[in-house]
Amino acid sequence: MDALNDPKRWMLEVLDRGGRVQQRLRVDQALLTLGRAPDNTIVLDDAFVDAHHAELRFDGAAVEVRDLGSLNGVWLGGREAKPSATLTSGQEIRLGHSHVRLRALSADVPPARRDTTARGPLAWLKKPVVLLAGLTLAALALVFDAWMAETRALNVGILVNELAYPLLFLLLWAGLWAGANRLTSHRANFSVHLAIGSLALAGVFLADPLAAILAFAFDWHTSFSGVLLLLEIAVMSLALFAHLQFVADGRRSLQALGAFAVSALLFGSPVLGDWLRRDEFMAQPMLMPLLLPPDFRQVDGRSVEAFVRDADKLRESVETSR
Amino acid sequence: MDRVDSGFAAGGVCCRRPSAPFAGPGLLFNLVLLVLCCLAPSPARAADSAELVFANWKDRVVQVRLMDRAAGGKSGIGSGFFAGRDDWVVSNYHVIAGLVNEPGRFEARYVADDGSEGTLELLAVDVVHDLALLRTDGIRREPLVLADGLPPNGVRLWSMGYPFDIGLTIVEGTFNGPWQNTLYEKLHFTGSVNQGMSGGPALDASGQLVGVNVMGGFNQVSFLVPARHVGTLLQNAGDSPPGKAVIDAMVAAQLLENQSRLVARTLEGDTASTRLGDYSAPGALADFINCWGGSEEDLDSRLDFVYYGCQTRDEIFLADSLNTGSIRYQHEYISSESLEPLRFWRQLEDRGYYPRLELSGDEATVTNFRCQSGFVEGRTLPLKVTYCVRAYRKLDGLFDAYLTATSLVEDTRALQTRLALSGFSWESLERFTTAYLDGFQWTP
Repeated sequence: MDALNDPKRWMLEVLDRGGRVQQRLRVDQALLTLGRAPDNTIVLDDAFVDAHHAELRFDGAAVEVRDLGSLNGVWLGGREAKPSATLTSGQEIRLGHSHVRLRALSADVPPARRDTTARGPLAWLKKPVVLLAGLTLAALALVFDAWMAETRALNVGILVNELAYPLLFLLLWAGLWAGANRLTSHRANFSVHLAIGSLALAGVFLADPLAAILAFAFDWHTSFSGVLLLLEIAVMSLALFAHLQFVADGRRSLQALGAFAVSALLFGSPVLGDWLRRDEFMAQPMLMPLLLPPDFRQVDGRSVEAFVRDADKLRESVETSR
Repeated sequence: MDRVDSGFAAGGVCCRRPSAPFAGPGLLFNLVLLVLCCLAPSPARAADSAELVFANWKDRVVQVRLMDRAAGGKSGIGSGFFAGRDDWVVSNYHVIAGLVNEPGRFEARYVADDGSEGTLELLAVDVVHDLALLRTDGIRREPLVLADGLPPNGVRLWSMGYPFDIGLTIVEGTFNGPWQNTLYEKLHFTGSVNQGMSGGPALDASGQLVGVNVMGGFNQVSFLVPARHVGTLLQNAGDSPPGKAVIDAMVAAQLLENQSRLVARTLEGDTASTRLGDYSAPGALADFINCWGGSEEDLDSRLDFVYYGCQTRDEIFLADSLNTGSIRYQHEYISSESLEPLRFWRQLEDRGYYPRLELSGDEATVTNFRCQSGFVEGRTLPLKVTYCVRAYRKLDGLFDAYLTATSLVEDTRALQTRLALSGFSWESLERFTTAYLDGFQWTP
């Protein structure tokens, strides 16, 4: 037996459903068996695995896996080992719902990754002052929203009505992220997720007045919903990305893309739906007044004649739709 | 106001679909003919009672039925009378509008006082004055004679027709002159013109046609189309049915001509204005525009309102779902002593979301609205204006418009206005809208 095929230079890794190593075994014999029965070298507690499912043979020039006539087979990637196949280092085999990986002891491991949650650009979210600021900002945004919608002075009843559900929602949201966080690491980071959630809540509630101020001040009337949509997607993407950074250690670019995609879907799909239905008949016009105190206005208007002349475009549009 | 049409048969069986172009009920009988005709005892002893008028001219009045071909039943009923030629029948446009709007679906039939029946074909319409001219397929009667000018107020008239499909009826009432300040001229008749009598004649004692029943349903207050418009309709009619395309073009041309007259009358002379707070705004722009005002303090919203609203008194009926030819506008001067500016303007914004002046029309008759919005520099004040327009699908060159504007001058005092125009040409929309926006001023 030459050095290359010495079983002692191999290791077998039994993976969990998340793909992480659950169990590591150094190979010390030329023949290993895998199955649900206790007399196997590697016992797989998996209802979809046969009592004696497969064997691994470290023999001659190759490592070979052989199916012992199992019900569900032995799979390498999308290919079935029928009755046997050759394995190389790093290759994964699937038996039932179990995954086992062959690894050479000499195989390289990837370099250590920087812990972005502890020391990276998002570590500031762990500071108590951020949580305090986030909660304060969220409460102020909610109170401002309530105040704008009312014409009376605010009272305790109005505040309870306005604040109770959003704050409960916020706790639930942070709790779910913390639960997910705990599943993937030894910490829940509840206060971090609460801080992210409250900043996001404040951002979403402030996006509307901010978009309205911009659209009104510069007479971008038709852009209001577009500006609002962009602000909402930006706020939600950042929040989801931050949550994901603490919860999962996937690739940063993938997380950013996922956060953006979910946010765009969340806020964009109603807008898209309205846009797709824009030709549905409505007996009365849709008026979107968008009014703020005169001092917010930053640009001059058109002359009456120019405004009326510009309506020629409307004429073309409605005549085309006859 | 209710037009005098009816959608149901006397037996109570409803046979009119809501979407049916309606047909009017009326009966047409009446007519009068006048003059000297052999039926009347003699001109000198012209009929001086309902009994004589009825006896002499009942055969000139027919019931007009709009029939739904698919159902084979009455979709609407009205009245009509012989005029111009011995096979011509005049009725209201709104009685037979189904023939214009959905000619494949409807046909018109008449039933004469002797029970004879037949088909009516459409020769011409006058949508502005709600008249239609039809030709019978067989029955011939001597036409009624049109009265020359209007009788003195207080003269007795007799209106005939088929109210509620219950048979030829004569109604006595008095003539009260033209309805003051209306754009689409009508005569005021104090008699009960009821549903089904639309299109029937109103005759004087000598049997001459003074007007055509068109609107009623109030307490003895009814309206007639003046006979001279019948004269114009008869003069312009051809011998044979012109077909749908010609009728549609006729309708569009009549509406365009009418609305240019309307806009010219509105914009001629000095523009009337009304004062609300420190603002002045367009007032009663013409004698046919009727304005109302009021004020209110709303403790709940902490806003004070002064209202001023104007509208033309009448509209032109085109179809069940579409009236046109109207001008309506409302101003509100809104102020608050206690509300902060941000909240004050939020209230104004919320109040502006829904149109308060509704325009009629459905998917079959008009397109969707298209809107533009922005700051406009008025003569002495900036305004935030939203302007929406839509086109009529079948009538080329006609549009509806809806405009809202809010003054951008003072923190907690503002003028908000709404304007709804229906059945305008594009040029008239431009002229009217420009003049309207120029009509706002801030004069503290």
